[in-house]
Amino acid sequence: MTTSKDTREVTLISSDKQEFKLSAEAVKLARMVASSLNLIQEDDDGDEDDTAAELDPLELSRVEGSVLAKVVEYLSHYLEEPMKEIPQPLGGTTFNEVMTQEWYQTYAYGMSDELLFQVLTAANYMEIQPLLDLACLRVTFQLQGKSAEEIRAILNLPKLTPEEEARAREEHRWVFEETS
Amino acid sequence: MTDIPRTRRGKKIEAASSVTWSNLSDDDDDDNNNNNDSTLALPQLPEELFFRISSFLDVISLVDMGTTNRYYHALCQSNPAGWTNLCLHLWRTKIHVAPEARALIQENALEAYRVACADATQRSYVTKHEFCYNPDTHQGTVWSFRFKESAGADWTSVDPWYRGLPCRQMVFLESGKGMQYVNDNNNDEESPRLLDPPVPIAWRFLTRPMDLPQRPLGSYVRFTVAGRDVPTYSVRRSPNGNWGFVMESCWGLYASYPLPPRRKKILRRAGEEPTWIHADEEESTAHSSHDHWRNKRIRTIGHPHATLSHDPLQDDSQLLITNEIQWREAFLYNVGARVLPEGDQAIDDFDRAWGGV
Repeated sequence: MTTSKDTREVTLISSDKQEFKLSAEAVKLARMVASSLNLIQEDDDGDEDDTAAELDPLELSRVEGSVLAKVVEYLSHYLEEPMKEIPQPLGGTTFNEVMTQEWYQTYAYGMSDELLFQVLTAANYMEIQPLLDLACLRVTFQLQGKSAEEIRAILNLPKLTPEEEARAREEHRWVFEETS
Repeated sequence: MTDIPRTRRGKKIEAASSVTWSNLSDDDDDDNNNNNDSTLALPQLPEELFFRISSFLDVISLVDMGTTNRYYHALCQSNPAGWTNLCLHLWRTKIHVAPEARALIQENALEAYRVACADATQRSYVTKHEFCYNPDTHQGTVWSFRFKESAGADWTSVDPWYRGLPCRQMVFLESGKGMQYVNDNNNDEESPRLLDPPVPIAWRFLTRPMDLPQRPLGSYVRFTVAGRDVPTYSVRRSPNGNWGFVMESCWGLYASYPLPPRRKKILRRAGEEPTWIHADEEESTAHSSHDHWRNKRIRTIGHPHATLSHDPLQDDSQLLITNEIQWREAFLYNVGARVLPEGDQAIDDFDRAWGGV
């Protein structure tokens, strides 16, 4: 398998018409984008890569500029320092223990909740699995260890009726039961 | 109750899969969400993303998540919410897992988890399948054995455990025979091997030894060593929470997993496998007192089904069956009896025969 890096330049255009340039190699991580641009061969039929000299710019009408900027930031860095896979279940009890790479720690927490959610959605749409995992990981740590009441507050969910809540708690009482 | 897809006001969502959710609050407070403890727009997420997040959660958090509202309640019961992984991850650390739980995991992992935990907490006797060893398939339990201090120096002086070495190991065949289990790995011969013990050992279950209450079959084991019954071994789950079994008499102790060595070592779970480290090598976990996101600990310790990080069986202090409890059997053995009687009648007979002892 040839592993020569694709150094051609790709231009991504956000919904608000901002342009972002990065290398084709970096873009390969975003499978949806990569396949739209024919950067990855889905089937290996032995033909030479259809390497066009230039790649057309790609419009991502669903992704805003501020969000796409964060995504591009991730993709570019990933090329230099790939992110380690996040295990399931998590191998640690703090975010830092699970994600030990400092750049990604800072990246994950360097944005507001709202931007995080937008990045998460964009990563899902663009099919960037590692970024999706990282975003989900941060959400996990914001939820983990919270009571149902706190989770409801964070997620702005309406309450259950007292009966519903009692029934739900009763169903799972076994989790909390000590050894007899 | 039908769920109606809703869109976040002013922005389009991609609804490639039909997403349904209930009880979305209709308040238009999105603009207020830019402060620190803002709300996450999780309800907007399609199912597979919800599952990705929930699959990172520990059991208690996942359960709490499921009590927040009706939609999550349904989602959080399903296998992809993380129950399959939770089962596998927990069970990997356990010595015995009920077969009926394992059988359930594909169909309903939440139920499988529950069944396994219930079995581990409620059943404290061993099944024949768990107790025995099959030499052809190498399936079954390899028991570790050591004497207790109370057995006396005659026995402890020749017990390898007292010299800091690994315990003797035994297996018990369905035929009623006990065999030594040797796993030395130092020759080309097939290791592990089963050897006849220096003196013959036979085993059987009983339900009512003289000094202990009636319990189901699999709670008590009678060993006959060199033709003489020895005081009954009483079965229970290991106090360290690993779902293994220990069996204990006034003089001896068996465990269905490797017993911690005598030197001051503790059983530490490093990664997936339990490993032995010296007590003084134990890392002190540096706690950060701030709530800073980097050091925020998530709640996984304190889960009722976690295995303890240290093993209470390193010495005899946590053991239960004393000479005082098993006094009749100990007495009879010491006066040379070959058979130790059992059953309710046996106590009356003993008291009549030895009354005033």
